[in-house]
Amino acid sequence: MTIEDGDLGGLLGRLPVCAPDTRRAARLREQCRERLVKRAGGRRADSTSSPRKWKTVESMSLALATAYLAAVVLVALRLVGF
Amino acid sequence: MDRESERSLVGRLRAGDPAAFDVVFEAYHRRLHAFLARLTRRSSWAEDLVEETWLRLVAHAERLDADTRLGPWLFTVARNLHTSAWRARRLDAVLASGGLFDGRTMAAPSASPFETAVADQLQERIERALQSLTAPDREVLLLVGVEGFTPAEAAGICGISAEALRQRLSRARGRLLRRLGEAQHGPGGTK
Repeated sequence: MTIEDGDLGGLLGRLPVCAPDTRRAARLREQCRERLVKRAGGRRADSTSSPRKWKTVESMSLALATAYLAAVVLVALRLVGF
Repeated sequence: MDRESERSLVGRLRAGDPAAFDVVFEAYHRRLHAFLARLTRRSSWAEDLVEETWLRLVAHAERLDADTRLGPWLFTVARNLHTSAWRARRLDAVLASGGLFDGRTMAAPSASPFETAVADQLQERIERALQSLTAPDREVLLLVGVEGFTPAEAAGICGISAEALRQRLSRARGRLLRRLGEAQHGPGGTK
């Protein structure tokens, strides 16, 4: 049977679909679903809590305040003779 | 899949809806696997690439544009992954003597045993001729001929202009027909 150019499109369109591994496909689908939900959950949690930038500022402020307080205490101790 | 349902699916994917992922997976998993199996000529490597394609979708879901066309998006990723893998592993050289989809194919339904036998022979000839072509030839034939993308969509997937795709497609069709003729009559044979 000779195949002409005009037949080619139809013949290619009718080629059978190669079957994927169904067990691997099921595992993959589950893995993707979990990741999708996890990522969306992570985004929601981020949006309801303080942004990371402010968390950094908060922890830096706390460290500075602690250092300042320690310095004040040390100066006060020196003043009273320790 | 009409445009409105596709937009809605994209919106749900961006919001992380697993049911929307199921719909997209059902619609495209077999097609992506078949495309990659024919492109790589090896089902097991196609499985790896199709897996990576879906993981990329999940990783990029939140950043999808509202009007993303999911089919072209997925096939673009799959095609790019194949190109990277092909460059890395030099698939064509390694697989020059390789088998056809590890023997796992699905027969198309036919009306009678005779028609089935003829169709099987014809399909096998086409599959073999397709496999003998280069990866760029195979990809345009698969995208337009097998997957039914428009030339404009296929050009977008391949990252080339519509005119370049038209020329590549025309040359690929010519080469496929020549290979089919050679398979029937032998190289340089007459009809």
